[in-house]
Amino acid sequence: MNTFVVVYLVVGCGAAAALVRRRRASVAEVVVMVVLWPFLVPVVFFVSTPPASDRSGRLTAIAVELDEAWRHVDLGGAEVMRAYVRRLLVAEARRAEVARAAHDARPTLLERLAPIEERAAVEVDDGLALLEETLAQLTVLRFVRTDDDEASRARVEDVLAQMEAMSSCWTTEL
Amino acid sequence: MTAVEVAPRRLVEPTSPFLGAPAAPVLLAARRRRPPLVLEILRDPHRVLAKMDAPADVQRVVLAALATLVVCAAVVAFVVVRGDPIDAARSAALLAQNLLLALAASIGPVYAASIVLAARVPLARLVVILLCSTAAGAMVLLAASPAPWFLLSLDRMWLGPVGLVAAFGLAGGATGVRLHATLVLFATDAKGAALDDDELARVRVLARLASVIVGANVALALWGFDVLL
Repeated sequence: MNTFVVVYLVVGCGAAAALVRRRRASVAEVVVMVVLWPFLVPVVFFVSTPPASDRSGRLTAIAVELDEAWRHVDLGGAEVMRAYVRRLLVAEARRAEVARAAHDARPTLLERLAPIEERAAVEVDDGLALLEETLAQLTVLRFVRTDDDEASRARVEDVLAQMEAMSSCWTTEL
Repeated sequence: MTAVEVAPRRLVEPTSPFLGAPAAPVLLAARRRRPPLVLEILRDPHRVLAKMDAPADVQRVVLAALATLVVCAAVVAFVVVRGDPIDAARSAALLAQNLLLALAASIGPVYAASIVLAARVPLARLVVILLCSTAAGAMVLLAASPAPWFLLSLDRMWLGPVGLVAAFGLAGGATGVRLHATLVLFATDAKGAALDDDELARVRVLARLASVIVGANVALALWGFDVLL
C-alpha cells in the first residue's frame, strides 16, 4: 500500500473516532466516515444546528410542507416565502437566546428582558399563523382548479406582500 | 332506443372484523408518495436548499450525491472502455475514485476562494452544493456517453478522444451552470432579499472559480492516472 492510502485511512479512522465520541454511530456510519471523510467531516462537524425549540420545529416542518405545496401551484413568490421563513428562524433563535439570558439574569435585568422575549415570541407566532394561512390557501389552490380559485390566489398574493413588507422591516432591524 | 348509461357499480366488501376500518381518502400532502431523494436533489436546487436545515438531511443528501457520482462515473467508464471486461471494470473503479479525489481536493481551494472574495460559504453547505452540482453534471455525462462510445468504435485515434472530451466538456458546462444557479439561490435565500450588483458579481466570480477549480482537478485526476484511454 502506498503512503497516500495509509495517511488517508489514518485520518479517516481519526474522523470516525471523533464521530463515535460525539454521538452513537452505527457500524455503517463509521465505515462510511473512514472511506469518505473528506466529504463527511464538514457535514458532520461543521454543520450549524438550528435551534431546537417547539417553535423552530414547527417552523421547519411548515417550511417543508409549504415548499412541497408550492410546487403544485402555478404561482410565483416562493423565494419571498423562503426568505420569510429564514427570518422567522433567526427571530426564534434570538428569542431563545434572550430566554437563556433571562434564565440566569438578576431580577432587575429580568424585568427588562421579559418584555423583549414576549414581543419576539408574538412576532414568531404571528409569522407561524401567516405561514399556516398560506399553506391552507395553497392546498385549496392545488385541489380547486376552477375559476373560483381567484379568491385563494388573491389571498396568497396578499399574504406574500405582507411577508415581503415584514421581511424588509426585519432587514433594517437585524 | 335510448341508451341508458349505468354508472359502474363499485363492489364494496362489507366491513370485516379482520380487516379494520376502510382507509380514509388520501388528500393530505403528507400521505403522497415523495420522489426519491436522488431525483429531488438532482432536478431542483430549491430542494437542495430545503434539505440543508436538518443535519441528518444534509448527510443523506451528501451520500445520495456521492452514490450518484460513483454510479454514473462507473457506468460511463464501463460503456466507453471496450474490450476486456477486467480492463473496463478497472477503468470504472478508477474513474469513480479519481472523480471523488478531485472533488475532495477542490473543497479547500473553493472555500479559500470564497473567503478571498468576501463571499464565504459555510463549509457544510459548500460541500453539499459542490456534490449536488457535480452529480447533476455526472448525469449529463452518463446521458452523453453513447456518443463517445460510437465515435470510439469509428476511430480510436481522433474522433473517439474528441467525442470523449466533448462529453466531459458538456458535463462540465452543466455542472458550472448548476453550481452558479445554486450559489445565487443560496445567497439570495440567506440574505432574504435580492442581491445587489456587487454581491451578485462576487457570487458569480465564486461560481466561475469553483467551476474552473473542479474542472482542472478532475482533468488532472483523469489525465494523471490514465483512466479512460
